[in-house]
Amino acid sequence: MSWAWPAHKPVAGLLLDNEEWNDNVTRFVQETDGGLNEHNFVSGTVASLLALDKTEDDLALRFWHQRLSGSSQEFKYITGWTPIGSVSRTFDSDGGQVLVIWSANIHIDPYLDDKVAGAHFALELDGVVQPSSLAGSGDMGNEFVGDGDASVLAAFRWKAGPGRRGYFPMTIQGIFDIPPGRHTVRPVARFIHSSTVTSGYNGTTFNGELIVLHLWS
Amino acid sequence: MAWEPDFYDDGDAADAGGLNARLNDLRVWVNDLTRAGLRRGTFNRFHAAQVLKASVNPLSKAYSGNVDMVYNTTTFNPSMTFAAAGANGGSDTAGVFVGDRSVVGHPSCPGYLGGKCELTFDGAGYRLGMTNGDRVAAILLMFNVQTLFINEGAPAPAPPPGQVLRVFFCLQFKSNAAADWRTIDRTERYYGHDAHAISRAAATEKLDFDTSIGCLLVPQDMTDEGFANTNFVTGVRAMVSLVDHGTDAVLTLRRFNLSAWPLHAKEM
Repeated sequence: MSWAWPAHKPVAGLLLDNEEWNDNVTRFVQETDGGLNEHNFVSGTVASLLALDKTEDDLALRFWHQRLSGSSQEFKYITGWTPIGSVSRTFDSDGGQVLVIWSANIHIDPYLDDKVAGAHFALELDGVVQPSSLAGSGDMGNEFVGDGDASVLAAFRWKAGPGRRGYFPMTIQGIFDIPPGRHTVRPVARFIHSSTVTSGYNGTTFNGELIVLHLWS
Repeated sequence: MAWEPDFYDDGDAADAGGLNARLNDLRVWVNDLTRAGLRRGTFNRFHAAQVLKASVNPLSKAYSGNVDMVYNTTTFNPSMTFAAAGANGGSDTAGVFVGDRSVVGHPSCPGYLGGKCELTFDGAGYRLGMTNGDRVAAILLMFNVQTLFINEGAPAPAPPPGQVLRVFFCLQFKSNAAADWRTIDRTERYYGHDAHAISRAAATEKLDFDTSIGCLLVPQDMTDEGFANTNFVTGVRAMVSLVDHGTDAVLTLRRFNLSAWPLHAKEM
């Protein structure tokens, strides 16, 4: 609204023209219908504005949420990206940016020496894996990382350099620009296969949370 | 829907009454603007340094603590033994590791947190839910801690398959409705070793491993604990424990950070 000026300025001695009046009013009406921006608010007023009961709850943010307390979700030991159980959120948006956070505990059996080389994790938006959210290098090579001195047994066996295995917490996130419409976001996993094993060693998650925070920007 | 003013048509009297009525309509319209009147990004950029600050209730703010700490010589065992998933409470004193779980931190940690990974909200805290007076829909929690070393210590009893030494973390919240801290069950995390014990004399395994937890504390969490939605959330903290460890296990942590953002938002 910072650029809304009356187009017609009344001049002393002239008759009020109704069309000019109407045009002046219309300019301000149009600006209040989607044109208000940061220039219309005095610095420091936003906080007090948000405190008012009359302001809409989603004036700045909306969020969708999936809580997974005590829940065990399985992901398959298959080729390519696989969903993590039923962890998923579908939502309708007017478009803008979304911050997606997925946090959970991962279980990839660490007892399977040389059989399971680890896995990558990422967020998938509308069926497309988002590289910015990738946990792991993305390298599908299954050369193992050495455990160091044989006399010192490693506490952790990460085995594969680009992947991770064992029991460990995982948090991945990303900010994505989305168009208006219906969208689905979910975490996905991709196992790095050894040369001898192609199935049968599914992973699971325990506990966790999927958060979708819609930013009006 | 945009306001449709009563325009002047040809022949209308441009008298004081008509003019005042139209100006009054404009006043009513401007005093009840809707979200549709805002250009996207109005509250997310120029009036806030960070996106989430734009949605923060004026009575609240972003809370964060980043402390550089070292547990170099702290022995976690035998004083702390994880007993049950979802257990509430725990040791409240940094550096005193007893019972099921203990607050992350150490008395020697620098910084304003007093050595503990614990945030206390201003005033009475926040009532969760947009209709409960504080206009806070949820509190976004982000936690991470760096593990430097883990030493199993004296050879532990051979654990059965599926049970190995695990390092455990979780988040808890405090309400004025109860004396004890309540665990947010879904934030319980742990990382586990392979079924190998390392001797005390051997070199300690250097991990440089980061544990991170993301969580949205919502009104349902209060309900699950039996609290009314008019009760306040007064603080949050991070807890640590050990599971199935040997008699002299030593866990060395380093930096941690806990952030909390009360959000003015709508849960869909």
